[in-house]
Amino acid sequence: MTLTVVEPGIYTTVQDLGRPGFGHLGVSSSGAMDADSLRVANLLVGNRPSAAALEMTATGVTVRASKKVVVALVGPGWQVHRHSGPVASPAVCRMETGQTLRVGPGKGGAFRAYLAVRGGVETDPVMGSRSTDSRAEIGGLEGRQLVGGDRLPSGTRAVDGPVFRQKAGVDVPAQLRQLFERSFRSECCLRTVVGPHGACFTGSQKERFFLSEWEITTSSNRVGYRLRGPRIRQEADTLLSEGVVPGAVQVPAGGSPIMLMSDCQTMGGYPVLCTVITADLASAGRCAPGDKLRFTAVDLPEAERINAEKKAAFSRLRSSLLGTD
Amino acid sequence: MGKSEDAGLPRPEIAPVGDSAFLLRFGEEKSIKLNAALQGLAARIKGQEFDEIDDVIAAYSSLFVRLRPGSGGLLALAREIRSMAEEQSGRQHLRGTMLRVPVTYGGQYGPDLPEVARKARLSEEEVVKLHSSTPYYVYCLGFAPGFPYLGGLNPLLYCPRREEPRQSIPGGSVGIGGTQTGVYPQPGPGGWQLIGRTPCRLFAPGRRPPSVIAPGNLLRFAPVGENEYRRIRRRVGECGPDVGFCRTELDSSQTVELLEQIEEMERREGDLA
Repeated sequence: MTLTVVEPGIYTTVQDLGRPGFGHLGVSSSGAMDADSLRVANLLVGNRPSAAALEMTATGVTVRASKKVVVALVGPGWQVHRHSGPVASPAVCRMETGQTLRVGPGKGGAFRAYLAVRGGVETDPVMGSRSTDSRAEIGGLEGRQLVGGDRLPSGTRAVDGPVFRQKAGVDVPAQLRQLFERSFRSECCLRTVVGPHGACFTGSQKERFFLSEWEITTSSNRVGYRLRGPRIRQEADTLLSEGVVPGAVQVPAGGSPIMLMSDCQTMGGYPVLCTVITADLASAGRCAPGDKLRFTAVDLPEAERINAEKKAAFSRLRSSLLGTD
Repeated sequence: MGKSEDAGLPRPEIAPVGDSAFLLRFGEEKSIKLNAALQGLAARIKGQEFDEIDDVIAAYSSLFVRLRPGSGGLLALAREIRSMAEEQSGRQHLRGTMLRVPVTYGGQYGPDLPEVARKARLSEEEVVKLHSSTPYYVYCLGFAPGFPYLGGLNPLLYCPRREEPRQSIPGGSVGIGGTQTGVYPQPGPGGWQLIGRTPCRLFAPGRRPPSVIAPGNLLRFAPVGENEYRRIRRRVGECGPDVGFCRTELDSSQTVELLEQIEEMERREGDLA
């Protein structure tokens, strides 16, 4: 065992990049709500981007190392609390055996953040992933959120490179700000592609949706965000259920949209007005209940261009962290 | 089935789902014939091991394809899959698999059986007989891991969902919700009327494949008494999740005959609507 959970926080789970490939059996893809931060945290400790880490929600954790270990905290506005004072994310910490580490959000910090450990959290994978699926209660540690006393193993298989060391001339926080540019909560605007049920909504209803501000309600979680705003009318009779993805904005007959998130079910029967583009899902994952969202429409080529750009930004970050450019 | 299945699939509409998935929509109606062809198509797509594809879900009348994150080229891939669909004839998937799933009806296992019987103006015995005497078709799995959307429920058994969904129902519960019947493989919340429970473990994350029930399967519920329920439960505990149910490969004429029975039941549903 490598880390022992001393204080679990209000909702902490093990997450990696998800459990794809079982949608036809009704198994959600799950995975980190803010995959960008997870990837960066893994990069900082020299892991593959897909390694499992702790996803913290609203509050941080305290962990104790049972051997020498390197961890990284990534989450905009989060901090490692040290005796000497707080150290802001992104932060890499070397822990000695028996040492404890407390992390948490600062004022205005993101709703979720990630604590990665060199070698990756090595709980038993379930169907190829260590992600905790909150709905099906599989993956992670016994399919549940972490509690005090939980012991987490780490391994070596996830190691892919050296631990990041701060070098002169590399401003990591600035690069991350660029990468997370669109994230920030109070003015979070998510880009979407209209559909796949755009035809179930009149032009004026779509307009109303895109012009309105939407509040994430408190009955929101890893499965989906319920949005508060004006009522959106849809003109669907009964739809036959078909496949859905995280990011889909469904509108049930009541008219209050639900944006599906990582643990959403694999099939849905409500009309989907628009779907958040892959590049902006992580931004949504950083938002908290009470935050306001806006949505805007882009076309598919634009969405794919934004994605490609983001991929390129990640490789630039990677090479500057590893000092290979 | 007539000769129309040889005509292949209708030309689908392509509907992007954001930039990470697309749907090919083949119509607005659910049809076993169409779904069986889509299951065949899904199997062919998986067989080709496309690097860009993470998931393929053949639902009632649509095929959903989810891309590996960041792969791009969504429309080009959608067109490629559409051309595969054009070569798909309805006949290929007509050798079915029949699953026989034991169920203990009523009592503590099916607390809503009296309610379903009352609404249907039938005795509990008649409900059990109607529910367990006809075959069902698995259109797709969804809602929860391994949860089957079944076609073929006798319209006499249609029953509205419970007004108050249960917070937690036991794994294996067999229920009726509106015009559908199904089985909850795992414990969880649910609003269907529960009429029985199977002692089998229909979904086990460690098994390969994890789900006993696969899309496109045929399924029958077989009534068993409480003693048999306990006996199977014990065997599942001792031998793991691969016991208790019975799987039979059917030849093509048996398959066609059963599918026709189920389609007949589905047509009755249409007549009622």
